[in-house]
Amino acid sequence: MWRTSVTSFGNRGKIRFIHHTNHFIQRPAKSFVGRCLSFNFVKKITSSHIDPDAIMKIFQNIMILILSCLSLLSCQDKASCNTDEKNSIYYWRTTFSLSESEKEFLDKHDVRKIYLHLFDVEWSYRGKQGEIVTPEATIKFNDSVPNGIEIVPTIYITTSAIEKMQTREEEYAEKIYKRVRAICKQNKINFNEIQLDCDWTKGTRQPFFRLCEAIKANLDSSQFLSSTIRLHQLTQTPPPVDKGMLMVYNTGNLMEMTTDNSIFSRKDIEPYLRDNRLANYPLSLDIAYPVYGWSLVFYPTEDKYKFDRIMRRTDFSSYPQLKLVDKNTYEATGEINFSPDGKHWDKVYDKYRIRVERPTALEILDVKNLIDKQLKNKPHNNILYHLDETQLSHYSDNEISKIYSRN
Amino acid sequence: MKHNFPIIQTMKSLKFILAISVFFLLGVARTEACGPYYPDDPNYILMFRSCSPELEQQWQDGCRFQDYEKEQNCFLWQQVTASSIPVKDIEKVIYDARLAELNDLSGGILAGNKFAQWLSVPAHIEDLDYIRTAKEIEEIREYLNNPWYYAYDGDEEHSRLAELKERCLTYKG
Repeated sequence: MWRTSVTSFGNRGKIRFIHHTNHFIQRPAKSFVGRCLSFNFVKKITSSHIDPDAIMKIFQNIMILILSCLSLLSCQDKASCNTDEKNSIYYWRTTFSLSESEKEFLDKHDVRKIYLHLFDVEWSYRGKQGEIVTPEATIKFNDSVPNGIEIVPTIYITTSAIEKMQTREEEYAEKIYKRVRAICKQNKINFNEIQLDCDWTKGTRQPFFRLCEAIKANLDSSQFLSSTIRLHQLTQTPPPVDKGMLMVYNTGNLMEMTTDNSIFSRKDIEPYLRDNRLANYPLSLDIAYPVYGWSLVFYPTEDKYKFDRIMRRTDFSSYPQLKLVDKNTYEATGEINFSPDGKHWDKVYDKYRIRVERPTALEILDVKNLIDKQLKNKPHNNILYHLDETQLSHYSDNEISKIYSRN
Repeated sequence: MKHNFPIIQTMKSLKFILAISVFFLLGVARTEACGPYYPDDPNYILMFRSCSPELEQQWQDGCRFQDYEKEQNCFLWQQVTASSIPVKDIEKVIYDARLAELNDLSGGILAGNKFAQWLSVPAHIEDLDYIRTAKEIEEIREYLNNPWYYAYDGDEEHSRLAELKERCLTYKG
């Protein structure tokens, strides 16, 4: 099968390539067309003395051109037309503002696509202005999007919102699309793709799928729809979208003290990937890996530890009152206030436990290897979650490059 | 039922009983997370109002949307249209009907409504146009306060409001 795609290589601009999946011929189309239209070509076909080699070459070129045109015409699946290889990353903060080191990260790793979280869609009992399903946590732009970076507006939809949308999916699809378009217009963002992120289950699958269909109906011909796919959703019919983003994170139950690492654990991931499930998954997939960490605080009760809260801090080396009781778990030997100025409440008390979770590059690459084996015949991109200088500082450039690398 | 209220002496046109006043006052065109926020340029914010001097005074005094105000407005409409039109029918058109519902003056929620029938007479097209304009402004303003609305420069809602403003300002009665 022939396919054309636009591939970007750093600052060298966009070069159009013709890909052949069997032989993987990469031939700049411009030079091919240029060759066909060159003076020599005209001279050859008008010459009275016809060289048989030249005729063969011309015939080959014409065949390539015809096959390329046919492949373009048959490219009905939008996602297959958008399998361009781009290093990509999620941006999930509510203010768009890039630090110097984040800009440097984007440059250094040639990140050309950002999945930008624009807003959540939530349900609230009280509602606002007569609306019970409303957009929340809308991003504010303090910076403009750097040149040369494609933005994919990404919308997180809570399961309660999707439940409340039932029978009104078309209305909400229009609202979501209109709002995405307005935010992008105001912030001078052109977009070709919208991504929906929803932890749908069997119970909410139908309204979510209807919402996907309805959003697709709003898109123009150059735009396509993608959706995140959680590991537990792999066993079900894929949503009616053009592309999926497999989220290989948040794999365990963070509220359980017995969980080893709720962000990323091969032990939790492997069962979802059995039976070569990714190779057989009917939707084209990209893969998102976590590059973040957090700490989870648990408090003791009579029979077990109970979840208290999530802490952003993951470095406790300056707190001797915390005793390491497991490879990633501390226990407090007294009251500790983590507030830097001591004015705010950010405390743990005696016997509280803190589990630090951050996947190492080695752990990520181990699972990536597993996934790549299943997807060896399916071209896919590896995406990082998410852009945050503090989080990314825990990974070396070499490690990030290895996670991004396509085998 | 007889109601006494002052007849507006300054009325210039019986067709346009309630002149559209476009006031450049405080208001909210863009919603913010917290408030209140006052606009940098009061001219940018428009408030489309239609009321008699008495009603305007009530507005100024902060007595907005009170029942008697609503009632008085309906009586005013009744007085300048036809006394045979029940006030309830006027209220239905003025306060309950949406813009789309005015497209069908003889059906839907307006079936059998005497005021809707009066408005559908060709000679009263200007009155109908006035009500439609007012409702369109109200509905756009309502959407501007909807949580789904996100303002962008030159968005269709603000463009349409600007068009309607021009139309109102150029109206000579």
